[in-house]
Amino acid sequence: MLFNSYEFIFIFLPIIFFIYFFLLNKRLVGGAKAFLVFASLFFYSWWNISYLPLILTSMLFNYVIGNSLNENLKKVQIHKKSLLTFGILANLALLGYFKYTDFFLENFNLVFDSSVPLLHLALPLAISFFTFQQIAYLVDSYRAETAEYDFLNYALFVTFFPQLIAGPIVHHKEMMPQFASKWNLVKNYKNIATGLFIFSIGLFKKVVIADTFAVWATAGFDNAPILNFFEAWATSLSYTFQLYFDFSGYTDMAIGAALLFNIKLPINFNSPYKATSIQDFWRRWHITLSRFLKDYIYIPLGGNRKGEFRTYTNLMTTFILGGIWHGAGWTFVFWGFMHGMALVIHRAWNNLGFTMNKYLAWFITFNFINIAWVFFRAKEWSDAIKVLSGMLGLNGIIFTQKHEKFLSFLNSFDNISFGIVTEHIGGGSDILNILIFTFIITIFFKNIQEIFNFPYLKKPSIYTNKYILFFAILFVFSLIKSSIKTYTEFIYFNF
Amino acid sequence: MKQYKHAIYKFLLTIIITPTLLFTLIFLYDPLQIFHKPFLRKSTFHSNMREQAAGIINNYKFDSILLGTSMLQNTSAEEASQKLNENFVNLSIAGSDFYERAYVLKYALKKHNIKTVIYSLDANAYFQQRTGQKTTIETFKKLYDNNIFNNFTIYLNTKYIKCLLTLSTNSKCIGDATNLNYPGKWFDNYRDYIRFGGIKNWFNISLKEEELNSLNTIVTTINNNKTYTSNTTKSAIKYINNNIISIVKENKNTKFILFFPPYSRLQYALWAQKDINKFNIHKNIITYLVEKSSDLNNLKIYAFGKEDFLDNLENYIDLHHYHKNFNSLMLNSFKSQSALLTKANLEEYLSTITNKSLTYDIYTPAKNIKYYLNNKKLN
Repeated sequence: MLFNSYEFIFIFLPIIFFIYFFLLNKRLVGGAKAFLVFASLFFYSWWNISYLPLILTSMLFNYVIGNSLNENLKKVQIHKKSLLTFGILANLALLGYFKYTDFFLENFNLVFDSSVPLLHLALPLAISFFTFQQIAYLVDSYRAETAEYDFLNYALFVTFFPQLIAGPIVHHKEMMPQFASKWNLVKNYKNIATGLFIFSIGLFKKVVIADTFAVWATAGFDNAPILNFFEAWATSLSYTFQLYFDFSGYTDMAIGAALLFNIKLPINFNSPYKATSIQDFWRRWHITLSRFLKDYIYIPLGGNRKGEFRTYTNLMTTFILGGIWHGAGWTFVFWGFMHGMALVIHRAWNNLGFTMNKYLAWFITFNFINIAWVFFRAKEWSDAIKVLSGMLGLNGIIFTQKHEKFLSFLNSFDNISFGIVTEHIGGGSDILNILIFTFIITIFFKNIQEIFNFPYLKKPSIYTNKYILFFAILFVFSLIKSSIKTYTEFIYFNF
Repeated sequence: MKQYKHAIYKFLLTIIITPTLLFTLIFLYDPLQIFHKPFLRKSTFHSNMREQAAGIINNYKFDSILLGTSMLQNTSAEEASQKLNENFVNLSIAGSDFYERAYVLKYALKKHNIKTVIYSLDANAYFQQRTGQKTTIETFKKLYDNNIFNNFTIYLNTKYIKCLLTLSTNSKCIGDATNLNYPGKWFDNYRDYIRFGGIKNWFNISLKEEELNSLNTIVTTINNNKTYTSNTTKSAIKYINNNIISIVKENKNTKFILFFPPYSRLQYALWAQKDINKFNIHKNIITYLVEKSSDLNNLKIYAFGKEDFLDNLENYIDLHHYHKNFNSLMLNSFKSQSALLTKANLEEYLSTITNKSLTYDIYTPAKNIKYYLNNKKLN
């Protein structure tokens, strides 16, 4: 069940909302939470029920290990570090088996010229997210940063449907007190109104903006045999915006849906394309993943405490692992490597005391991110090379015929011609107009934290008629757009 | 708290009222007559039958249909009604394949008591076994299912919303055909009729890129001996069974007249001499359907490959599209059954078209096409 589907918006979400608060109203707190867990597992099973035992087992296993690690419990007399190592390895083994086995076998076959058959395992939905979330829980338990909660509360922490499939990746300590708070057990109209508004923004981002760019990005990356200069830039920029609006749209919908239940999920995006350095970008993009990578990989590796060389190595390692987390493929590894390298260069640049004009810094950062996404999106190396060679103008530059009379002097250049500019990706002049529109709202408009003063929600002006009308129109427009085409999945469901 | 409660009510009210208003307006305006015949204006029809056919089926009376592509769009429904003594309507969809037409056909058969269906067996459809236009097929299907509510989606685009906001009676919004004789006709389009009279006239207009590509293909085909189609007779038959024969079997009281459109001899000759796989599939499909027609009493197969007019390129604007006169000729044939294929005359027919196709000079027309292509610019 997708957040942007009619069955979620008009059936699942309202039913769960009303039953949950009905049970709470009857003072059946345990029943309400159990119902929410059941609803979340139903939501998860909607795609494929066969993976339900997997998430249940994973949950039970981590709950037992986590509780054993908790200093408050002394029942298990096993060395804590060994127990933590066992817990983490078991989680990584599960993730590795489903996500990386074929990748490993492909490379093994290539290196040793063997033909070990691939397993072709389907990736269980959300496995990367719930595995990381539970590894964080184990480490937090080891560090005695988790309090004792019963299995029901733990199950709710892992399965809570707004954040189950694609995050935000949440910490035990930021969620459990919210589930336990008695203030959150009654309907809060401010949260409900804000939740509906934020959900509407997210829906619009996904259905109207991301899905529009998806058509051109898919045509350019997957279908076009060759791309000219403008097609290649339109393709890469389309994906750059598609990915951002798809994922941040999903996150907004998750935050909005969770707010209906008085749960405040952490923000995941903070206008990342406004970043003026690669370090700034990673403080704004997929914030909860960056937080995880920093807290559970970069810092345990030594962070920046063991000299410059180790710092650079740690950065590279962290980002290459971050790349692999996104997908089992060398293009993801290379994407992680590019970002790791950019962070190393950025750090060295700062250490040498250099500065840069902020507009130039933004320009370089945005273009680097855009180029790096080419590797992230490409299914094969050849797709990435196709797009990048087009962006460099190696496949020629085509201007529209109506511009020929003004630009006829360009005819003397071999690789410049006049004709149909976006023949291979479609879209015509719409692409340019929509790219400009999207660029403006991305760079110059406020994000949801700024609009709603999230998570404090201290902005009464947002609940006035003009804003209500605005959000309602976004919602209706998105629903109408959804009715025209079949629903498309969120990109991050693949990771 | 009251402020937030009111905000929620206002939000919910807006998201209920706005679509209600929009859909009420769409229902009343309804330029394609999907929901009803027009209010306060005369009936007009779009030439885009992918969308318009649903409105005609929903709101107009008829008992027989012409359902093809541009090969059948110039056939007069009135003339067909007169000659075959039934009440025809022409629902032919330009560039349609059998998959798309199956939706329209099943829908028409469900909504009306159909006596006769005249249906063109376009070669591209069974060679390529297409399943609709990728970008429009989902919306298209909604028009021909049982759910009346999803029909609104056809209007949820910039074009129709603009029309709706101005309640426009412009032909772009409500169509310009004033009757159902042949709403999709093209014989009176300047761009088309000026091309009759021979190859030279094919270049009388600024050709579109796809038209140029298609002409270029003729020239390249002449210089090659490779097989262009990878599909097989088996897959083509499966495609025909799924989208035509199954419907014929389910509607025993409806007479199905299936015909192979009379493409130019040059087209058949190009297949026979340069792409034998295609020519064989074409002949195998004819054989298969004629055999089927001997089993199914309500199925008749017609083909015009023996006619002399195919040899003369003056009758065509390209390899396929023939003059309106031949639409009339075909109707005469359906009446007299002169071009009816049966098991008895099948072998002789196949042998004749093979001989004619193998002996036709393909090199002179190709040379001429090449000459005119070299002197022509892209539109």
